Amino acid sequence: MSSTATKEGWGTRVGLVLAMAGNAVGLGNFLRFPVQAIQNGGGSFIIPYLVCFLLMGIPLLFIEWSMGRFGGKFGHHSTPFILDSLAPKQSLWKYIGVFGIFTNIAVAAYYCYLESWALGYVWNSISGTFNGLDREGVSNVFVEYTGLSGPQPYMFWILCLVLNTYILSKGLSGGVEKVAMVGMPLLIFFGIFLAIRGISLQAGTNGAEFNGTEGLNFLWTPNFDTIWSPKVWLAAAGQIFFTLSVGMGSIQCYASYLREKDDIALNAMSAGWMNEFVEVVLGGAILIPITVGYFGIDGMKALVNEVGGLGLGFRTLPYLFQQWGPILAIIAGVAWFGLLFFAGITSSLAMGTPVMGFLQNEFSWKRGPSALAFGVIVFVLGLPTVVFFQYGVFDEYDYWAGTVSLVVFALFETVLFAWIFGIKKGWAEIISGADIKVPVVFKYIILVITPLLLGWVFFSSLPGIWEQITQVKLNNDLLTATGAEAEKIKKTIFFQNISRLLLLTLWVAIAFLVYIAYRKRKQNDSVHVNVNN
Amino acid sequence: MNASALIMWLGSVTIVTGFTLYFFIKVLKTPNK
Repeated sequence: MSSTATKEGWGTRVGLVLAMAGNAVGLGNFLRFPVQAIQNGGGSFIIPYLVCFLLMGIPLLFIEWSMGRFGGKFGHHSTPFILDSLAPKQSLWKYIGVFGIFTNIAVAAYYCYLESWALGYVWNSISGTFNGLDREGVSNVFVEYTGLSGPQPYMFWILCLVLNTYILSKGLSGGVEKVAMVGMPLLIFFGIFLAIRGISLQAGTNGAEFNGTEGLNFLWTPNFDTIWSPKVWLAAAGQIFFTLSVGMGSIQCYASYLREKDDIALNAMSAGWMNEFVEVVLGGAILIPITVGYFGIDGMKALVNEVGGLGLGFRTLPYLFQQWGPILAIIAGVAWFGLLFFAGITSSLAMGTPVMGFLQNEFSWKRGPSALAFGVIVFVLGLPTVVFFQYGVFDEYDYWAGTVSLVVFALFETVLFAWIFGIKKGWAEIISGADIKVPVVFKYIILVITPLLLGWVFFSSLPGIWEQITQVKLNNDLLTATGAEAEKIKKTIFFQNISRLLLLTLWVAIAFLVYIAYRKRKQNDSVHVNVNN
Repeated sequence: MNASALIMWLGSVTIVTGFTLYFFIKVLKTPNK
């Protein structure tokens, strides 16, 4: 049992569902999904995508929600001891649970910076920074912003960290839930506005050269030749992972504040499908249709290859909004970057909660100092991603914490839930208190198909992981590079290695804290036994 | 838009919006325990 019985809890059920959906909805829903669809078969991508959602996404949501509520019964609010409660006789699982804190801190370290770009761009849209600039000029604003040419990036980053820390210090019902109740409806409202603008874009109006529907046409035209390609299925499985925020430890933490008799099945389905709505319906109707409207299919494809989804969102869309006239440009800029900001902050708040839960449960910290500790850790760890952004520190964090770590943790937790804890008990947990009838087929999917799918995703990723470890691409580039370019590659290799060292140190430090907490628990237990004797 | 793209788009939008509304309305309508 935890040393401190926390009084945290959710105020309303709708608040919980919106907070969970907010945790899942992130910038990737708008910037990553459409690019993945284009690169993997267009309209036919939706088939492996939805199949992966059914066979991997929904089962993982059920697993993580039920693990969280189960651990919460014993007063655990972070994954090390939630996992421990599922297999109390096997002491190593708590160290697998370290991933559930590590990922949240490491992802928050770069994600809060990304979030601050969105906030900064809301301000720049209102203050008219993009007025009168051509595409190159708008693109250069981004290059200068991330190149830290002025104080603005630091100011908005610090503002984001302070905002996150303040909201977290207000607790679940007083902070996180309130932000979700305001942020999610606003995000959906902004998204619907931009989607309507994107789809209704007409050639010859507002400077557009093509209809927005041509973008939709390109995005959704199925190429069934690709549907059996393992690469496409791997991309679909990967997208489901990132979009649902599974394998992070934040869902378990949120669910651990549920009461024993509360439903998890309906809540999980509602939050999961809401994320899919934002991604498929809204995310698919903004970035690509608007870009195609101005650059055509070939121009959009060239831009995707050149700057990716993130580049399209920050380097190109502000310029396109300028073509809509001064007032609409401001409204569209605020809507686009506002929705990205809300998508970001509802996710970063979810990353802070497990860290706070761990400090509160295991070291009896109060809520305020725990939130402050999270803010300070994210500041220290995030500083390299801000200062050395151009040397790939941001991408390195994203690769190890935001990609590899998720798959590793999800694979282990599924094996633990289905095979160690046992599917019989696991299934009973899932359907306990359920407000919907969960199809029994999910029991067998969780037992067999989900672990196999996760194993396949993990083992298929191993060659890529090895290439990343050995820095194959950078070393090859270095062989042909000369002068300043060679210097930059050398610096990138150096900063990549420093990033890895930082992340490894973070993981080991958390594991050490888990060990100390475990020892404390053992000592407390033996004191109780002696007193009782 | 060509017919196959329209079918894929409308089909996906209908399925996803339908499930989202169904589950969210159920959340709103289900009384607290």
